[in-house]
Amino acid sequence: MRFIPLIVSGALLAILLWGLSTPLSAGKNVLPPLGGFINPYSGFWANADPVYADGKIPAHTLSIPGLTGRVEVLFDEMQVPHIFAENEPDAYRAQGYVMARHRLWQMDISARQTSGRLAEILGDRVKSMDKMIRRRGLARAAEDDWAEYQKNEFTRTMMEAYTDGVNAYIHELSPADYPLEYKLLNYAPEEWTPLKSCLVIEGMIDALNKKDSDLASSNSLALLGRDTFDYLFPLWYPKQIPIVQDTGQWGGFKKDQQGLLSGLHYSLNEVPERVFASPFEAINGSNNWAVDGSRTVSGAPILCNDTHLPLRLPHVWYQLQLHLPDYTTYGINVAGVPGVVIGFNNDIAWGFTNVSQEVADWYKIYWTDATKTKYTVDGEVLEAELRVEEIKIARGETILDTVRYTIFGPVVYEDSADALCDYAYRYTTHDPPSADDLEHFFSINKGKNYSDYRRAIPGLDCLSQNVAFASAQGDIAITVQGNFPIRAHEQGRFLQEGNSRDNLWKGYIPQEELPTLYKPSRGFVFSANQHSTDPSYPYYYAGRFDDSRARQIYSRLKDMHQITADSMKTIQMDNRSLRARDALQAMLPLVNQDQLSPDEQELYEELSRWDARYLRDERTPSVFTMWLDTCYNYTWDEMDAHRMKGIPVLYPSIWKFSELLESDPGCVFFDYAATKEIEDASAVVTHGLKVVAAIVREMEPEKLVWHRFKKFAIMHTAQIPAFSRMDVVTDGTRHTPNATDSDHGPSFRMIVELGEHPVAWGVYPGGQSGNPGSPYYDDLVDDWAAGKYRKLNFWLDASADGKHITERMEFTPQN
Amino acid sequence: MKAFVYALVVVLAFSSLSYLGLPWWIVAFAGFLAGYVLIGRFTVLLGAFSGGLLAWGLAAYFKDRANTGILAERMGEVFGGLGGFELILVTAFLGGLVALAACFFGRSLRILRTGNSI
Repeated sequence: MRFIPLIVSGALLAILLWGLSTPLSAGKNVLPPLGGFINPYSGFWANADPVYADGKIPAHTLSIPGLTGRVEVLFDEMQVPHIFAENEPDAYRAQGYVMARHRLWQMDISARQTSGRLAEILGDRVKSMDKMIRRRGLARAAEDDWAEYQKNEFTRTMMEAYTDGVNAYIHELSPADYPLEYKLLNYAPEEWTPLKSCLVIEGMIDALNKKDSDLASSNSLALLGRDTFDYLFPLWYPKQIPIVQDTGQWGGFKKDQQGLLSGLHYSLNEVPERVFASPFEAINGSNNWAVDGSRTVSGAPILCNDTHLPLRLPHVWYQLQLHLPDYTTYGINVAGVPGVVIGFNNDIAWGFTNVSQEVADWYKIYWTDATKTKYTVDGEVLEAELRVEEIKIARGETILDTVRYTIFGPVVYEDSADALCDYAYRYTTHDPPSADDLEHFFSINKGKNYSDYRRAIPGLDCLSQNVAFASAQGDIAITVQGNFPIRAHEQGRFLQEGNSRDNLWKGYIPQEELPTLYKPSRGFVFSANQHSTDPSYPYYYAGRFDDSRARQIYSRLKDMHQITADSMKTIQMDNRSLRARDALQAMLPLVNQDQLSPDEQELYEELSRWDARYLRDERTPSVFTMWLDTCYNYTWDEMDAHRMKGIPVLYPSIWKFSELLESDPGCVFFDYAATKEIEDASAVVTHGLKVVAAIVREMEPEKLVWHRFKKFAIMHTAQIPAFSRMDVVTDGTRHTPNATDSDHGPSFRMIVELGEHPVAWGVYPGGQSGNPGSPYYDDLVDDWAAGKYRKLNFWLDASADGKHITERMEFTPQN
Repeated sequence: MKAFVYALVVVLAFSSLSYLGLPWWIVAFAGFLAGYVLIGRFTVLLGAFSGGLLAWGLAAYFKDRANTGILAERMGEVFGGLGGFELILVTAFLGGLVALAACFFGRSLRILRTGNSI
């Protein structure tokens, strides 16, 4: 009997301690052991960063292995680090340290994502994602990148110094200091390496360049026939205003490529009518433009850039300033990579938009037998290179996946219907870079003029970007930069035969023949993911080009004089969609008003009054969106039928749809297959309006307000609602210059006015810190949503105005 | 009353060693120690519970105050919609509960070894 209290109390304590030390299962999620997670000393409470409202400026003295001189870091009111160093390696060491301090978990998850190592921490549910990214060859591309980059002394030193800084921070951490997400996911930080920086770079390249419609195009071609395909999917949009227009400048282009081109006889594969996985697609846009001094009040050029990306917390970009004895540069980069990738210095400014050309192709591979180790090209048997990928899975068994590399790239999809055929994926980023690429590119940080810009941008290599430029000397320019394969007409538009070397890429368009616009007489350059050139450009290319934002930006810029930074802000925040205007102008006249009830007529009148501006508190943008979507889906029901069978197909663009409404209202596609009647364009838009009127009747009015209707949210990277911002009220839509969509939008609005000293403004929907417990986690979100900007602090010496400084760090060499 | 205060101080003091990097279950060790060493019936148990409660509750409170509630608001949502203050209470209660269970065990062990049921 005397033992009973001991047994009971012991059992109670044991159960309690076991329960608090054991990960908890909650559906698909595994929660961390509660005792370690909730205790206020080393659990999540330890991530509650102090808020210094009393003006206190924390100061730290630290060191990083390898440091050769003193480095001072001043953090401004946005927590942007201003790094003052005596040499570049020390600057990158400090950059690694402060980036890790703010964004360590984000860096880790970015590198894991590209290397296909998410399942190691997230478990079984993401293993297919890991498998796919490995099959697409991105991890191997990053390994090739680093193998090349380290041959260049500048790049090796830069990457290793940055790595030293990151690891110096990691080594300081006790489990109590781990970023919150590590605690939630119950794992520990691991050492940073230069390879991980390359993985982050590859991840960013993929996020921007990943788009191809070869498989969907092939299926559509087979299903529709050549004439209909060409009718619905023209390569050129007649209203488009390209980035670089033909002024006779490319008359001599391509003459050196004739030898190559004579060898191009690409063959289209017999079109498959079987199920493929969906094509890869990342529809990321951006705007940039530069105006020269003839158009500005100050007489100095102004450069603007807003990069449109999926919006997440922690925010994708990290702001910083690097100050060295011979230059000072301010801008943004992704966490995990040294240097400044978009920004400005005392003399120049530069900004990016996506080129939107397709830079990946698909090939059908013919195996000699079911072991899939040898394949046939030009009658010759070649051996595939096999790479066994080991995918570790948290709480599960490791799986092995053999990826077969061919001369047409890695095999991504296996054809379940044919044991002897598979599909290989050729992507520009599979090609190893030149060892000197990063040194060239990052020389833009210290660039002084147009020549420096032209020397730097080839270093972008396989990241295809429209790079806008402005200099204090008065120059403006834009270049369609990247690796673009030299192709025969329509090569790469469809699935190609992988049994002939003729179909291999034959090199890239030479740097000097890439479209460039320098000091145009109109006084501005601009891009917004539209066509790179008009159709007279000698090299063939295809892609998914935006048809709306560029025209709207052009229409604003062409009549704008006496420009100031404030007038530039109004373009970045412009919410008018020319795509919507064109569609509306095509749809309204076709409505058969005799068939409308009074409330439908009222809706018609409301739409007639709409100016195609997507404003947050209005309901007409929501009504129009529903109307357009209904009519569009009704028209392309034939495509839906294929898609429902699992066959990816193309859908015509909205501009083509609008054009058909106006020019071919009797087009067979307007007929809805499920009805006995033969519908035309008028029937479609009238029916669509009635459908929408019925929805409007039923819907609560507040849900129709545009900002609620589009359901904008900035989610945490791990999709944790509590760490997300679900309450942000925004204007705009994907096709307005202020391209704010449901989870996507301008990720860094930047305006730089050059002159004797640059003056810059910027804002992004996030904050410098990746810690949800920091006041700097999402402090810029509300300003961003409201269209407000922060003046960016460009400090030329470390004795900066003290009222802007919120924290100081001093790094000194170890003895 | 003395036993209550002693138990509270012992648990509070030992638990606070977590600041030095000791693991979170030091609060259990502290509770066990109080139960095993201190003589008393419910006062020791109550003291240990209060010590654990204060050790975790105050630490959470001060961190939350310095943070102006930013993190507590977010973490409260993770914990099913708790408010910041409720989250501090949950934290405190858990600290108290572990100390109490360990104190109960320590006291039971002492009683078994000494035969003294007080």
